[in-house]
Amino acid sequence: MSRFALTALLAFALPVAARAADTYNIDQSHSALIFKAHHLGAGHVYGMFTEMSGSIVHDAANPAASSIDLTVKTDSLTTHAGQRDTHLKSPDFFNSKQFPKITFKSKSVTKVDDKSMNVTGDLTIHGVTKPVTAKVTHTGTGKDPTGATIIGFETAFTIKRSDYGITYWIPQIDDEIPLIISIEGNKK
Amino acid sequence: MVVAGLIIALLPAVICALALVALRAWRPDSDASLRWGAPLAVTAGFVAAQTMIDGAPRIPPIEASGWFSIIAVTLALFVLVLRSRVPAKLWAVASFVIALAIVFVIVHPLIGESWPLPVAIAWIAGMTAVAGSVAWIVDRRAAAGPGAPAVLLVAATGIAAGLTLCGSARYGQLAGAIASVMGPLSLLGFVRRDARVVEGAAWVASLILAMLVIAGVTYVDVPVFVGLLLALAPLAVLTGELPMLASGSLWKRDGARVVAAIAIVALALGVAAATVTRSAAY
Repeated sequence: MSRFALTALLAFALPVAARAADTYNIDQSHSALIFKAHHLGAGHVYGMFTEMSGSIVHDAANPAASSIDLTVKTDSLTTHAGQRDTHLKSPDFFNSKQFPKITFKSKSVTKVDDKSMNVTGDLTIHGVTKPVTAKVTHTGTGKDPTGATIIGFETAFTIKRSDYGITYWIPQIDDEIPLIISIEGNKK
Repeated sequence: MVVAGLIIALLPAVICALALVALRAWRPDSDASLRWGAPLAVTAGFVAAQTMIDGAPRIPPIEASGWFSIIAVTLALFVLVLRSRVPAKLWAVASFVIALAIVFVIVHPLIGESWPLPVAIAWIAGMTAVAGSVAWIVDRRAAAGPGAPAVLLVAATGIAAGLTLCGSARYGQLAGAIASVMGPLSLLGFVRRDARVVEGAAWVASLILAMLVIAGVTYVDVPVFVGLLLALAPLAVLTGELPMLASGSLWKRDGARVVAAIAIVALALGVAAATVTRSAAY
């Protein structure tokens, strides 16, 4: 292959490669980590963490090249009941002063279908790191008012809080805690 | 849930009482067994309560409270091994060194990220001074009169209420375990009127209480002033030495100690109730 042909090939190929994996910053105001807890065998209490940051690398053509790095501030927990929030942030549960962050770092991504993928990674809560695998749905891609590209993902899975050393008031408050993580990212 | 709560509240007292009765039955002619057995009884009651509340301990601990039982066992061992073997002055120094070690173990996860080093040094120095002073003074005064366990019972009850009020029912329950074990020891103190059988136990209990208050100020929203009052409540043992009570009976002096402890705890809880953010819903 002549030097000209090689240069021409690279000139076309490189932008394609650059487009293949896009990086997005997580948009805190359009993202949430929501949990629910079964209370005294009766109703469910819902709560959410409102402050999070991180990045998403999304490669639609090659999902294995995708990744996510998410950090949630435990002090941003709210259940819309101030006294209960104080208790949940205390050492009885999340211990937000000793453990100010919940983190998730993906290790592998495999395609399930056009709209979803299985993401495996390390979830760290309360200072304990456990591997989790969650089916993540690509909820859509759009444009914000400035014309910038935005992307959305959502997943739902259940953890056992005792696995993370949060054992107080089991079974009065259920050990199994369903989570919903919904994130929106702004393209860098 | 109520039954489980009652069991956790009463279990430390039952364990402590059974340990004291067993020790007395084993060595009926000697107080030595009670002197070294009482600190063990305090620790056994506390460890049993924490195990019921938190489950089996994780080694190594993942959070500050994971050290509580380990520290309680270490304190009892210190009393057993060292207290009768070292001079009083050296024991005083040991109290401060042990207080420093407890403070460091409890607060060290925050050093660096949450607390810059100068702030950490200031906090550790202050907490060590309070915890070490309280342990040393309570230990010496416990040797001079049998009312120390009753004062510690009041202080522990106040600390339990304060920690719960400020946001941690779990820490409150753990302080309640010390109140629970102080029940049988108070009874022993008032029945025997022989202070020496409870002095080592008072040292262990006062350091466990200081540890819980330090953890409360560090990890729960316990206001510093409230924490300071609660930590200093055991110093109500000094009331019995006021000149106006010098000529009074031991009962009168012990009564004054308990009343002073109640007053300090009431002030602390009043400030806590007025300070801590409350919301209508839970």
